[in-house]
Amino acid sequence: MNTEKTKLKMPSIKLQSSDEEIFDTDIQIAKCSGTIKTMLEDCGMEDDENAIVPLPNVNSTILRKVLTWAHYHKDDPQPTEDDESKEKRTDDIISWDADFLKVDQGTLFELILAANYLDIKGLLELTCKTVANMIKGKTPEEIRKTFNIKKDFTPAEEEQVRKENEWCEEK
Amino acid sequence: MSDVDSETESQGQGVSALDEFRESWQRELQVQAEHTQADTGSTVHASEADLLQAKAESLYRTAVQLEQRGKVYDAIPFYRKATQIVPDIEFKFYEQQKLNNEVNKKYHNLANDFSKQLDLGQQQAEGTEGDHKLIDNLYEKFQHDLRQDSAYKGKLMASSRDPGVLSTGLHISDLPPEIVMRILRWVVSSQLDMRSLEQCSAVCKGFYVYARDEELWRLACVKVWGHSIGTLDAQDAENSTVYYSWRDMFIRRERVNFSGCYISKTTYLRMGENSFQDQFYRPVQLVEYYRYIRFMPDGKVLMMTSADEPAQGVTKIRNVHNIRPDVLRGRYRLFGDTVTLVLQKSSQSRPTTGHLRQRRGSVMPLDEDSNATQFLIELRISHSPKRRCAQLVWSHYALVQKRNKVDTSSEFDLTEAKYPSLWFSPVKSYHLDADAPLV
Repeated sequence: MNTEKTKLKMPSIKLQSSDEEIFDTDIQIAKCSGTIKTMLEDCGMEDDENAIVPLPNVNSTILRKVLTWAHYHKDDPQPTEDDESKEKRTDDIISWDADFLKVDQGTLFELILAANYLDIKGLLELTCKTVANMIKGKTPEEIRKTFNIKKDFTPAEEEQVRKENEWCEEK
Repeated sequence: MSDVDSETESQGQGVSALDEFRESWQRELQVQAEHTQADTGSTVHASEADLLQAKAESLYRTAVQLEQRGKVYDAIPFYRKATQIVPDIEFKFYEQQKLNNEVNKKYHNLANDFSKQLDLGQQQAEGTEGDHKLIDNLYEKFQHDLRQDSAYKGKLMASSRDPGVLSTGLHISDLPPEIVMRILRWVVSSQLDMRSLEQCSAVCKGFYVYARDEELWRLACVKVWGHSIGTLDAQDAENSTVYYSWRDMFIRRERVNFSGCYISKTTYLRMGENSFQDQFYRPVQLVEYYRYIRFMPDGKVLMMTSADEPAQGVTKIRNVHNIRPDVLRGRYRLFGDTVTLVLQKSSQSRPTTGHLRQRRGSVMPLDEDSNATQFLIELRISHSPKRRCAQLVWSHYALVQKRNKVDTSSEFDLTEAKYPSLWFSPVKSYHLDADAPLV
């Protein structure tokens, strides 16, 4: 049954997460990841049906999430220097991404690390942008609260930083 | 150089290295100026007076630098100390500056921002003496702190989570530096939201170090001034202010603000028509309108005149990709303290987005239309006590009509009543969402 499926569809490969779960994935989708693409091409694994690509830095929860994203975005145009492609992104993709990223902060950071490790530029930019929007327009105290960051300034240092930043204070 | 680098490690050594440097520098100056002061001779050990003078000078220099950065209050105690040691330090300092411009320039140019490090050394020497706690180079202090303090475990940020409670989620400090920098590029975004970046720097030492990254600020400067950016100590033929860092240039150099728009209000009286029934009553109409100019960091500019009060007016030019037809748009460039705008009416024949795209990245003289009206505006950038670059004063406004390849230009009469200066007001919603990272 399985073989029949692969014959009809794209050739697939097996990805193995850090907790040793195997993900049968279309090659085209797996190749969203620059890391996997290079691995496949350099090691000549593309034609090997049973080859397993180990991904020791990504656990199954995150890998499943990443593959979901890659599946949805498989037809995206390659990111180019020109920002025209960004404007073409329609609103439903943006809202899909917004839904996709309804995750807690720890998961968001894990997705960033996975996107970075797997070299998936689109996902990395999306997740970094999400974190940036959590920072933008906030006061330092709000940022500390959002990310559970400890204030390690002495009062004098804090005052000095405040003075250095005075030029952009909104009055 | 290496002496000065090690200054931060050891105070005592640092101070003597500093003094030695000053001493030799001063001697050089004296020789050049052929001063008739008591000869210091060839001995390495300087006289008491020389040491004092060097100290006063360095205090004075710190004060000058602080003042140049706008920290007048911080500068005052340094000025006072300097004059206490050498009463006519101001004069002496000026003489030296004048005499030795060359040396001075070199001194500012040193790659590692030598002057800052010298200040740091001086600061620490001050600290040992007692009452002074101002640290001149927080960046280096924080970097040093982060390296030294074992509480950080090699990370740049400390978690405020209760260590007693088990948590499996990652913390922001688990992200590698290149990722944090990438996030900060999104924070700054192509809109140059430097205010959010400055807010980050006030979060904790780690974020301070990230947010003061010179590359971020350099990229922002490149966006603002483009080809005419120049270098930190020479911008163009006429203007050569010395900036201490790219951040310093971004803060102090004349530019336009992006986090809102410039608004002016024009009021005039217009005589109405005589009423048909009552020949004696002549109505007078009070006309009020606002002019809005919004600059974008990528060189685009929007201008709109409207009777709408600012609260509604600013929202009409919020969405850059969906501009109403009555808004003029074009490009601008900064030249010293003036900004030049070339604007024209949004063309309605073509879909607006397509039009916008064609124009992106093109140089300033924009148009492909042969029968177009262009508005050429020159505004002078001025400062208010509260905000830099908050005021734009009209200096030139002309209309150029192109008909059959012939340009007809007509100048507007820039009376203060009809063309009052525009004042900046911040608009938060312009920078709410990152559109693209800073590149």
